[in-house]
Amino acid sequence: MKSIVNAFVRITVASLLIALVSIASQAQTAAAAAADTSGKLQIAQLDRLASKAAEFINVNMDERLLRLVPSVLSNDPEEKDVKEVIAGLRGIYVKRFEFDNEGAYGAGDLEAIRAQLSPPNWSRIVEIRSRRDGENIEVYLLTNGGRVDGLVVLSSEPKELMVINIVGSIDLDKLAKLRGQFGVPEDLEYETKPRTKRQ
Amino acid sequence: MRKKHLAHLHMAVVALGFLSSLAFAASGASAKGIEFKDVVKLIERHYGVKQQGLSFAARAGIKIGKIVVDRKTRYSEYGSVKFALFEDQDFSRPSGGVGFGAAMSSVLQPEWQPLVEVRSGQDAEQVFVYLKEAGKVFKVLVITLGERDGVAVQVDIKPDKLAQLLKNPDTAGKILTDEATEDSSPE
Repeated sequence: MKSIVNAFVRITVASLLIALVSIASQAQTAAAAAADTSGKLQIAQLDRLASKAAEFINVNMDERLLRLVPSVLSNDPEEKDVKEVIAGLRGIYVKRFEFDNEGAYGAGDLEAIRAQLSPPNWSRIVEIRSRRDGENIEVYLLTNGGRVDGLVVLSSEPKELMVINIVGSIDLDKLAKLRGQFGVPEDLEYETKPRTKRQ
Repeated sequence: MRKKHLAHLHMAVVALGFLSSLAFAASGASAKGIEFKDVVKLIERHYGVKQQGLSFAARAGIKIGKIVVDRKTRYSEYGSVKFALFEDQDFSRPSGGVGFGAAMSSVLQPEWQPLVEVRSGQDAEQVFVYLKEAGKVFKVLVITLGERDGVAVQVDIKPDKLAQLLKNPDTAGKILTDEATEDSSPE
């Protein structure tokens, strides 16, 4: 009787542990794979910074929502361009934090993002670092056979942090049309031509 | 010795029961769905506040009294409007260590999809917008919380209306709340 009960307990505990390890492992693998190939980053971990932020904007628009947009855009040249840009996208995700004080976020927060933007899938095409005001801007592209399939703008200042993740086929020349719409900040400054600059 | 065996057996049964209850809870929640009243309860529990009923709001002479009157007008645009008002209550002391956004996400997702969250420190206002597809319409849930007031609104909107709102998602919550709750009767 004793041995049967002990075996039953061990099997139950072992099953529980195996299930937990398996779930954690699958989640990690799925996250890494998703970031590499789909173009969608895992940035939910930044949400914990929201409680420290004076201003916080978090926008999540997936493909299903973006597919609704063209129906309400007209055919005037401006909106036609927006329609064309939107047509190839599978998601727009924006997180923007403004803090009252410096040091609200750490280097680890940025590294967790950069770790998902590694070659060969991703390449950093713009890096601007300003020692004067502590502003850093990095632009990364996900390319497949010459086609741009994803873009990330990572902008950090002592009191500001912003991540923009645009997923899908992107026409870089028309990307600026999204400024001020769909959660993309109006004042976003970025370039999509390769550049590295330290001021 | 027999007691020890029984204790082990008890542990095993508890462990199995725990696993079964997890599976049951997951399937049960998805089958029933998250309703508006669940969201209201979450706000009440998280902040230790209490929503005012329609009769209270009407007696107090605040807008919500008129919403009931104008419901037919709004129904023409929004298939359904659900509304909860929290007036002159303290939203500055959330319970537990979890932020309201995280608490909301743990309850609403994956059934409801978060569209936008805007938090402004200047006026201590938080706006959360969640979406759920429901046949030919979208159910949109907007929760706006200030320091002393809060409002939760759930409306059904058509895809074209939603598409308009998506152009400026950071103002979508405010626009929907204002439109769904404003007095639309002639002056």
